[in-house]
This record gives sequence, structure tokens and C-alpha cells, in this order.
Amino acid sequence: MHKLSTGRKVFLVVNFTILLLASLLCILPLINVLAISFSSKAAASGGYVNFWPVDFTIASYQYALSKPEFLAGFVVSLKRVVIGYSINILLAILTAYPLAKERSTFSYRHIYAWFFIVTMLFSGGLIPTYITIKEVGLLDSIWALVLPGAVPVFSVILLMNFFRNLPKEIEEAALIDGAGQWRILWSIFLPLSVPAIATISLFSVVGHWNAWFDGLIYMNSQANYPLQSYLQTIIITPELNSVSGNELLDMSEVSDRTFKAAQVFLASLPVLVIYPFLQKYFMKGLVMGSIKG
Amino acid sequence: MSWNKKLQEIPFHLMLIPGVVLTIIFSYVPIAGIVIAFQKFQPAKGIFNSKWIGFDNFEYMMNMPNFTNVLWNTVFIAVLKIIAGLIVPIVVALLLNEVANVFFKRTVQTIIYFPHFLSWVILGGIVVDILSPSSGIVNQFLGYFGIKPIFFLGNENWFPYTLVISDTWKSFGYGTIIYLAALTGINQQLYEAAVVDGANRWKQTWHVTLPGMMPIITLMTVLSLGDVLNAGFEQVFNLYSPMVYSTGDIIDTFVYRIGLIEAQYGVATAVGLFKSVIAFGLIVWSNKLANKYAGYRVF
Amino acid sequence: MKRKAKATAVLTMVGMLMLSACGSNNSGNNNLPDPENQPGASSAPSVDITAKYDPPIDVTAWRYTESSYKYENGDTIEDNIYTKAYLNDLGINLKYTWTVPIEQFEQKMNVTIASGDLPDVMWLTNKQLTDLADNDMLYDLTDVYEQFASPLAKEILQQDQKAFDTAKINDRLMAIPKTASAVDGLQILHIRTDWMDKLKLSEPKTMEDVVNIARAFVTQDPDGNNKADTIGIGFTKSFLTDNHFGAAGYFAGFHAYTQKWVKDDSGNMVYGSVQPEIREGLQLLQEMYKEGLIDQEFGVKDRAKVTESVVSGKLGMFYGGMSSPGAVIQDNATNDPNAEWKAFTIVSADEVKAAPMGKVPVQLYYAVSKKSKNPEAIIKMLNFSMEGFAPDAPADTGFGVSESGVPVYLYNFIGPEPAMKNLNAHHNVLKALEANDSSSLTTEEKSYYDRIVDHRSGNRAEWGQDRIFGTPSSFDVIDQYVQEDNYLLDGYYGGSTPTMVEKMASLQQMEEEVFTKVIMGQSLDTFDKFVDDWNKLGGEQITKEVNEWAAKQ
Repeated sequence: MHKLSTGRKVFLVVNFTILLLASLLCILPLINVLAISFSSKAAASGGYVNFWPVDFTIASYQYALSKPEFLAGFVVSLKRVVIGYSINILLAILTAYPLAKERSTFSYRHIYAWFFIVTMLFSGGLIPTYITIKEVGLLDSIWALVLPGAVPVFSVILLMNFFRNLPKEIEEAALIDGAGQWRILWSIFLPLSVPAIATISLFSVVGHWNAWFDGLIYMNSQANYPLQSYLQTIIITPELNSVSGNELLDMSEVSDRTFKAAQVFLASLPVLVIYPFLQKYFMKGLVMGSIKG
Repeated sequence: MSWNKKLQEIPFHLMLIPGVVLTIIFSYVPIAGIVIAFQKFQPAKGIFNSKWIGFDNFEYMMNMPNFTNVLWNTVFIAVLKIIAGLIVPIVVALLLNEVANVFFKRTVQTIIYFPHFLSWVILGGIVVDILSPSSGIVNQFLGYFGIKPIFFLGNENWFPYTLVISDTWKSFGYGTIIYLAALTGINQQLYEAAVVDGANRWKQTWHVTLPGMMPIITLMTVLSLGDVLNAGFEQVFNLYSPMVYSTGDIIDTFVYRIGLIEAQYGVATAVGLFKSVIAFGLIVWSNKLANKYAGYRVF
Repeated sequence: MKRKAKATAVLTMVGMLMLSACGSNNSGNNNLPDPENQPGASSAPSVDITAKYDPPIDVTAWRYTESSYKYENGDTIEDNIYTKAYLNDLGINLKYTWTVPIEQFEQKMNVTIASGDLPDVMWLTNKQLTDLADNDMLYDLTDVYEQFASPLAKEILQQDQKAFDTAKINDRLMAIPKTASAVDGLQILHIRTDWMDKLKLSEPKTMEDVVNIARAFVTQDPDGNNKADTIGIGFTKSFLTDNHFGAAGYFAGFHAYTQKWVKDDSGNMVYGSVQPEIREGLQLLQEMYKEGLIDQEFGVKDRAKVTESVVSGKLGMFYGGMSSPGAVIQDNATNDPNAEWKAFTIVSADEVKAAPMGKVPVQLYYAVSKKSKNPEAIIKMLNFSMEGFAPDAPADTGFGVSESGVPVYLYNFIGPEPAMKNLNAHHNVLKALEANDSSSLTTEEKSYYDRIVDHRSGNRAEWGQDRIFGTPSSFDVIDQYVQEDNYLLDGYYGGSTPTMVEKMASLQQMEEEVFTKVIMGQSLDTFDKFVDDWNKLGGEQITKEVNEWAAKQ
């Protein structure tokens, strides 16, 4: 370890301060929401809660967790993430690899590339998509939630660019050794692309876990709702202008605010915790240099 | 093309088949439904029996009393968001890269990614509180510097910037992930070589790190141009008010309000198509530019 | 100034009042329905309207659910006391093709309709009802209704003929309307009475009183913390449409009705928001804002934020609805044992009494697909639901509120309500409280009764219930409106006219912007310019279309 210059020290202190402040800015609202989720309805709706629960209660959590639908939704969500993630990653890799080739190697690559890019920008909208899914017979099935977004185009482009920047020499050497394209993809490109795959994995898992709207539209029975869709059905959003007597019922123990806050945690927790585990893959950029040498 | 070459390319086609098939079924077939943009679409009549009205929906959109204003608001807010959304994550990724303490680095990295999981419905109330001119913490802080309270959410001039800053705050941590991944891809030997050449950290960043990140920066720039007409519906919807309609109303909120009177799928689809065409044009154009000037082909 | 819209409302009210006691089980009211409204009653063919399907038939359907729906004992929306009763008593096996939260109802309904799959019976909004009927996809219910609807069902549905007629297209009954109570939606002024007592203020009789109370609340430190942190009167950023913290009740004090249609002196329909009376209302609001009686930041605050001011004891007066004590004020009562509120009738800015305005209370329709094999099944389910409102209905049928307080009546698939259901509940509960005898109450009423008794024995958590159904309460005020025959209904209750579809979004946006800015200090000339612009930018055409519609009614 060589000695640090004064300028470097100043920079490190400033850098530390900036990052610390940024972290505070990001975590304080979260603590506020967490505190609200553990506060009583009256305290939350009066705006009394800052960073510590007022009239501590776990009523909101009890309410959500006491429902059998919660567990059922959790299972559907889990299924969705596992299936959806597997398909996303598989297709992202399979699609990105050929597209990463030069035109001299794969003459149709640009046609395929634009074929996929177009779908990122154009969409027929809700009604045509619904009709398609219905005609394919996927309504009320978990496949309706994972197949329409099976090719994650953004991730494909990301991965394609990552593949492209891998040193050409390795591939050439493998070809000379007689390895086929499948083999090169599997045993050379993939091991080298762990950080990029970790990134798109995160996007895929978070995306599938957080999605709620497609569940409400494509699932007919509420028993098939993923967790986030189910939570939408019990958040209390009284129709402000309704004259129906139902509005009288929104005086229940669990309030809009505390419940929404609890929902944030119940729903995000699983994906919040995977991030730190994925992090070690982001730090593993060193492999490449060593192979090249 | 020689047979030999064709044979060599077969594995590539095979790899693409599953993705292509699924994309045709679940993207291209529904995209055909874009014809709704040229219909007076009625759900009861369906796509095949609704009345064809040519470009009436587009005309309707253009003739909305404040369309130009709304379009300008959208572009203004979206472009600022794109710029901030590119710069801030890159800078933060570089700053994080300079941190030697792994624990601190990982903790910061994790924390700044939290806001992504808070929806604007939840954040709306918090933002109103902290930006309040009378009691908000931001204005109290500004007060120490003798700055008079600013009504960030209620002032037409400030509102777009308030949107941009709060959106950047919410998304920069998530955006940083991509650049952190890119940083890992930079060849360590280049740094070693730079050190041998006597480059200090600053010079290493400038001559090794940034060029190493250039492909991903170019990629993200080109892709983000596709969002030039997406100013962020959920955020604007939860934060705006009649006081800031003149600068805060965007295409998506406007279409939403039209839908409240009566769901007009034809108009909504026409607006969507309009946005898609512009976005597509910009992406094609910027991809060419990137190729020409940076020598880097994104797609 | 006159109460211009009066005439439009008279007919409706007569219809409603005539049978206002219906559904209360101690009235013994056995009024037979007006034969004129019952064309089928005299010539009823010999069908057994109570016959059970044997073997049971399948009926497919869709509906929405709301977050207020609660379930217990393994019940679901697909399987509960109602679906079981349909099967066991009627031989109808009700199967939902889908159910969805109300927020996504419109979208899910539209995609399903567009995909061409209609179930036997559907919940529809006005717009889809018209669309489907125009495309000849609905079963014309005119005859089956006449044949199969029980006299009781007809009586309840047609208490408010105007509301009932909204389900007719070209004079044919295309759906069963979900009738409800229009008076439940009337505006009410809620004020913190412990503050009024402390500051020795008397109950408001005029708009001037309201301003004075607001001023006292701001300047005389009603919460006694020696800080000038209290607000005079509360509004949200969407005060033109909001029920709680809205301005409709305030403007009604000037005989002005924002975003509603009223009749002018010559009998033509005009849009309330562009009438000269609005100007006066805006002027006073502007003065109040300038004086600091209105929250200076109201323009960015939504309902949750203003509720925060109420609950934390910073706000002591606002215009709201009958449910405000529960939906808004309850937490204030929970937090502060001394807090007390009372509901008041809205007040007038001049000598003419102020009348609140409601809407024709049909927001949902039950329609039958043209392809349905048993179109009369819907009427059987209707008859079944209406039995609970029969004068001699047993008090506890289990179809109202469960023992543990779960509102199972919400599972009901076909649920029109008598026009004054909640007001009658209020009357019945009061009588029961007086007599200390709840034996004659329905399960729903009994649950109100129990909670009010609970409140009176010291449980502040039920304060809101007492302030809605007990006394003093919201329904005391609504009762007064009804007794004095002092309320109006929005003159327009059709679907969107062509120009509305095209222009109304822009016009309303302009309206919100101008009203907000004028209150916050922009010159009142802005309002005059708005009136001109409104007419020029499509308002004139809309007014024409609304009048053409009115001529046909």
C-alpha cells in the first residue's frame, strides 16, 4: 500500500461524505414508511409518525398475513418468478449471443436485431394483447404472466453489448480448437459474463415480483392472483364520490396508510434481500483479465 | 453466400427460434391491433367491426386546445430526466468505485437502491411534507442561507425541476447497477499499465475507466432517447395539481383525463403510436450518430 | 337569487318520499305499487315467479369487488352465503367468469367485451350499457321484468322512477339498475364544536357565520398551544370534485352548483360552473384565502393530507358528506378525547335558503346477454335480494352483517337498495335507542345500534358510527333536508354527449386551473374570461346537446 497524497485524502473524505448523505436521503423515507407501517391508524393519519412508530402495533401486518390469500398469492408469485426468471435468462442468453456476432459471421443479425428492438417501442395496447392471450388459451394460467414478456429486449441488448466487448481472441482460439457455437456460448461466454447476467437477473426478478397489473387483467379467479395483485384488492381506496354505503366501512382498524406502508415491506422484502447476495457477482470483474493473460 | 457459410450460421438461427416465435405471438400479433388508432373503437364492436375513421384520432390529438403546451412540457421534463438519469448514476458508480472499504461500498450500494421500491402513491405524501414552504425541511434548510421559502410543488416555474430532482433521487440507485456491472468488465491490466505510466487516480479514471464505460454509456444514451415522450405518468399524476397544469401537464396525464370522461381507446392508441414512432425515429437516428462519431454500433 | 334547479327535482322527490318508509320493518307499510308504474301487474300471465330451477342451471357472470369486502370462515366471493342460497333456493349455480377490484373494473370489462365473451349476467356502467344495447348484444328485459319481478321488487326499484328509467333505452328496459339513495350524497358542513364552545361561538346560520367561525379558529388559538397553527376551513387540491373537503356545499350557499347541470330562469339547462353566482362564491373564497382562513398550501394537498390536519387537531371545519365522521374525523376523536364535532346543514350567503345538490343515484346496471338461455334468472335473483326489504322480513336472516361484523350483504350479486335505506336505518336505530329495544332491527341496523351503544358507554372508537347513524349525526342533517324538501338533483344524468367526449376533459382542466388560481389571488376577471372561453371551446355546443337530451326526457 503506497502512501496517499493529500489531494487523494481530501477526495476520499469528500467522497465518503457525499455517499453517506446520499444514503441518508435514500434510507430516511424508507424508515418513515416502516415506522408508519408499525403505527396505529390514528397516529398515521394524523401525520404524527416520523422515524419511530407511534402507538406500536402490528395490526397491518397481521391483517395482511392472516389471510389465506396472502400465502396463496405468495406461492403464485414465487412460481411466477421462478418460471419467468428462467425463461427470461435463457432467452436473453440465446438471443443475445447470435446478435453479438459481427455481420461477417452472422449475415442476418441486423434483421433479427431490429425485429426485437421494434417490440421494445411499439405495442398494440391492452385490448389486442388481451385478445391474443385469450385466443392462445392462456387466460387464468401462470403462462399468461411469463410468456408475453419472455424475451426481455432491454436485457438482450445489454447482454449483447457485453458479449461484444469480450476479447475476440478467445472465441477464435476456441473455433480453431473445433468448438461449436453452442459450446463457445456455454463454456466461454457465460462464465465471463457473470456480472452482466447478475444484472439482468436482478431486473428480471424484480420486474416479475413487482408486476401486479397483468395479474388483475389476465387472471380470472382471484385464487390465481400473484401477491402484488392480491394486495391491490385489499388496499383501501374509497371511491371518493360514491354515494354507496360501502364507504362507511372504511373505518376499519387498518387504515389506508399503515396498510399501504406494510404492503411495501411485505411485498418488497424478498427482492430487497436478494440484492446483497447478487452484489458479490458485480464485484467479480477480475476473471477476464486473467484469462486473457 | 456459400453453402459452407450458411451451414455455419445455422446454430445462430436455432438459438433465435424460441425468442422469435414467442415474440411473434405475443408482440407482433398484438401490434397488429395498432389499427385501433385509425378506428372509432367501441369495445362492443371489437377490432373487426369498429368504424374506420382514418386519421381522425390523430387530428383530435393535435387539436386538443393545449396540445403544443402539453407536448412541450412532456419533452422538457423527459429530456431533463434523461440527462440527470444518465449523469447521476454514472457519477455515483465512479464514486463508489473509488471506495476501498467493501462493507461501506456494499451498504451504500444497497441503500441507494431502496427508493426504487417505493411507489409514487406512497412517496407523494412524503414529498408534499418535505417540500412544504411553511414546515418542510427543505425550505427550512434553504432558510439558513437566507433563501425565501419556495413552493416547489405549487409554483409553475419550479414544478418541472421538482419532478426531475425527485425522480432522479428515486431511480439513480437502481440505474447505478448497470454501470457498476460495466465497471467490472474493464480490464485490470489497463490500470496496471496506467500506474506504470505514472497516472494518478484521476488520470486513471479519465483515461481508463471512462473509456471503458463508454460502450455502456452510449448504449444507455441511445436507449433513453426512446423515453423522450415519457415524462413519468405515475409521478406526475401523484404530484401535480391545478396550480401547475401549465408546466406540469404531460401527454400521459392528459390522455388519462380524457379517459375519465369516456374511455377512448382509439385516441389512446393513436397517442401511443405517435409516441412510438417518434421514439423509434430517435433511436434509429442516434444509433447512426453513435456509429458515425463514436464508432460504436449499439444494435 | 332563485333556486333555479328546483323544478327538475320535484318529481323525483315525490316518488321517493311516497315510499320513504319502505324497508323499515316496523312500519307495516304495505303500499301497493302505483299501477301506472306496473304495466305488467294487472295482466300478469300465470308464471310461478318463485319456481326453482330443477335441475339447477348454470349462470355465468362478472362483477367487481371492493377493498371493503371482508371474508371469514373460508368464504370467497365465488362461494358464500349468497351463492349457496342462489343454488339451494333458486336452483341457480352462479359462476363468475371473473371478479376484479373496482379500480380495474372498467378496463377488465372493456377488454372482455372487446374479446367478444359475454357471460349471462354482467355488471355494467352506463357507457357499456349503451354500447352493448346499441350493438344488439343485450337481452331486452322489459317482458321478463314485468312477468317475473315480484311486486316488492318492482316497488323498490321504481320508488325513484327517474333513476329506474336510466336503464331504459328507446323505452325498452335493457338492464336492472342498482338503485340507491340520492340523499346520502348531499353535502354537510362539519364543525368542531368543542372549539366553538371554547371560543363562545354560536352555530352557523349564514355564510357570514361560517367566515366568522373560520376567522376565530385561525386567530383565537382554539387548540390552546399558543401557536398560530390552526386552519379556518379545509379544502383539497381537487375541491371541485371531492366529497370530503370539497367546495360543492360551499358554492351551494351561493346557489351555485359546480360541475352540475341546473335549469335557468327560462327553463334551459345550463352548466353550473359558468354561472354568475360562482363569481361571488369565488370572490369570498379569495378573500378568505388572502386573510389566511384557508390553508395557504391547500392547492397541493390531497384528501389524505387534509385529513392529517383534521386528525392532528389543526382543522376544525370543512364541507363533507354523511360518511365524513367515520372516514375523516374518527381518528381525531380517537386521538383527542375532548374533540367533538357536529354536522350542520349548509348555510346561505343571502336570505334564500341554501339547498344541497345530489346526483341520480344509479352507478351500476345488471344486464343480461342476448345469448343467455335463462334471461329471467336475473329477476329471480332480484326478487330474492329484495325479500330482505319486505316489511315482514325476519330480523336476522344472516344475509346482512355476520355476528362478527363482517358485511356479507356486499357479496350480493343483484343489490338495488330502497331509496332511503340508510336514512330509514337512522330512524329505526334512534327509535330502538330510545326504547332500549333492538329486537325489531335488521342485522345491518343492529350492527349500527350495537356500535352506537358501545360508543355511548365510553368507546371512542365507535364515535364515528354515532355521528353518522346516531345523534347528533350526519343523518340528522340529511333528515332535515328531506323533511324540508330542501335538496336538488343534478339535472343531467345521461351518458357523455359527443362534444363532452371531445372537449370536456380540456374544459374541466381549465375550470380547475382558473378556480384554483382565482382563490389564490388572481383577478376575478380571469373567471369572466373563463366563462367566455368555456363557451367558445365547446361549452356552448355541450349545453345545446344537454338541452336536446333534456327535451327528450
